[in-house]
Amino acid sequence: MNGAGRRAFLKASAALSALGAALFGPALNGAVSGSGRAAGWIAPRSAHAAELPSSRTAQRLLELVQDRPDARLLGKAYVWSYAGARRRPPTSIELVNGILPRALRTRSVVEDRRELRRAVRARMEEDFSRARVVSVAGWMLSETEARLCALAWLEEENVAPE
Amino acid sequence: VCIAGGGAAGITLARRLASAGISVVLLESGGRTLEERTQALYDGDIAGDPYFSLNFGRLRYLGGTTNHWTGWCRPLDPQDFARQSWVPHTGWPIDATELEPFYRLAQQTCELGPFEYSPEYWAKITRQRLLPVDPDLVETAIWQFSPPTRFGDRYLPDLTRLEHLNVILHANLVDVETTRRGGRVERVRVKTLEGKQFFVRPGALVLALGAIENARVLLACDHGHPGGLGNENGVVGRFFMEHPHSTIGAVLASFGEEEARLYQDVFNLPDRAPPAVRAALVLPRHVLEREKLIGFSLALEPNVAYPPLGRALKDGVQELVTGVQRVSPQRLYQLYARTEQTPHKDSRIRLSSKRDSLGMRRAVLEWKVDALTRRTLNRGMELFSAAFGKARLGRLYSFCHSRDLYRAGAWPDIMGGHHHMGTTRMGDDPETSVVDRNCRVHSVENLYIAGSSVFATSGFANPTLTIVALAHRLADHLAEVAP
Repeated sequence: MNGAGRRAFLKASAALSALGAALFGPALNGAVSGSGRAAGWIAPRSAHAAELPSSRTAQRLLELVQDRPDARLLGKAYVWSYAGARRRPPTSIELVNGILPRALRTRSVVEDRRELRRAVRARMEEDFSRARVVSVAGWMLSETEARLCALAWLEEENVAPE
Repeated sequence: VCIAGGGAAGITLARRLASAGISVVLLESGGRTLEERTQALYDGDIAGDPYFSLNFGRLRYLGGTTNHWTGWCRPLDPQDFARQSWVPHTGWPIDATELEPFYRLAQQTCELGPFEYSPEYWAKITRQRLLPVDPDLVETAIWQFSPPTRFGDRYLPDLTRLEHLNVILHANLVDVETTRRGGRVERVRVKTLEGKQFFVRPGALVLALGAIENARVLLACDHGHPGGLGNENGVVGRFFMEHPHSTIGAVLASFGEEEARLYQDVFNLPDRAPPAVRAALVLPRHVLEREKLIGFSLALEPNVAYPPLGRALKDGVQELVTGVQRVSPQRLYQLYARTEQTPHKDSRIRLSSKRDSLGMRRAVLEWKVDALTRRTLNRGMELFSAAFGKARLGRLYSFCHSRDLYRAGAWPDIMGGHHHMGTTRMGDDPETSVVDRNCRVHSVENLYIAGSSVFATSGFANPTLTIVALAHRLADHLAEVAP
């Protein structure tokens, strides 16, 4: 990673940390615990999400998914499964980093939709070549596809773990 | 030579031996058609994993289970005979080259085409396409289809015509008497359901009763043989294998009927009869070695009831996939898995305390599908999914979709394919096998076993062709050693 890339990455990480603090703050936790909803996930709105560089890339990525409501269903299932296996859910930046190749990860924003599509397709094909497949609500998807779905759920439902 | 059992193995053996001028008595428990009282002799208990009633699947009359056989034929792969370091109890004492000439004879006996199972060959003959899967993940395998040959009907003229062959119907082998030391069969006691009894004094006895009954008879002949005849090392009845079958999911495929005709049904050649052929997808041998799995085939079943998927979810996957990968889902196929089963000592036939109407103790089946078989289904599904994804052929949906079920390998509806194997397994070591490389029971000099009970491993291929090939091989051996 070059210096500019590292700075961008750190900037994005710091921004996401701030987002995380906003999402996981005590007031929200208290609201959830008092809401009577099932434990595990809450759905707070984040006014800042669209302003974050990584979130911008995430939005560009999600434009590749044509029918997002159903992708969100799969994404929810994947995140639940992921959380069950690792005791915590993935963050958006982890998902974006899992989807993008190393060369694109260090950019603050990737705007070129064709470039993104090529990159995602290449990652999917690499997943399939290496048999990196996960079961998501029954569908056997490449890890990259599953992450895209999870990103759709995390970004568009604005959900975050409790 | 006395042969007990008039199914695919017994009839093949009887025809060959009698044609060679060897005097043969073929004992068949049933008659020419199904009779309830005779069929009820198959009743038994299930004590292990869920399984069909023992009275279901097998048929006890002339021709045996070939009377309702669907005709699937494929030889075992050469690697099926080899020891696989990651699978305990694997390895035959013979290899595929030794069986090949007998497979060629078996092709004729089962009224098949040439001994040719190359997918490319059949793609050319049928003018059909093979699915363009990456051979590093998945490959195509071919089955040929017998008409199917109903051995009792098809070979009845031989059974009645051959001078040296005496077929006795309604004749049930109920006991095998040996010399005092037990090293040689002296005579066989035979009973009818009407209570008549007679003895046969054979130069050699061949049990060709099927893998459950072969073990049952040996275990039941325990006077003077604690634990049963040929069971000095406690191996008889053990290592029962099936081919676990399961409808494991569906594929939302980017190919239509025309592109997968060879895979989705039995493909009949209109101007060439026989054979008919069908293709399925299998995990290649190098993948099994790399992943430490066992054999796994996956058939595409079209025109099936729509699996329990919400339409919205289906559309979601379509859009997800087409949005990124340019796959156009056209068709939904159900996926039918047939796997090999690991030889496992605790998967077994034993005797019940209940007795049948001839006074013989009934069989109990303790079938156990082990962890490696379940892991093969899990990982195999991932590998097939990867192959479909990589080739842009679509996406798979797994019926084992809960994470906990998936981890446990708790696939719904795993059942057998009525393929009973392994209960008198072949090997060089009497401590771990029942018969030697010539299908002779290690400890009894003139007692032989025919049929799939001698299989040391099951592969994923349907067993009938190998049963018939082994019967041809045994016929050659007996013709050599017959008194």
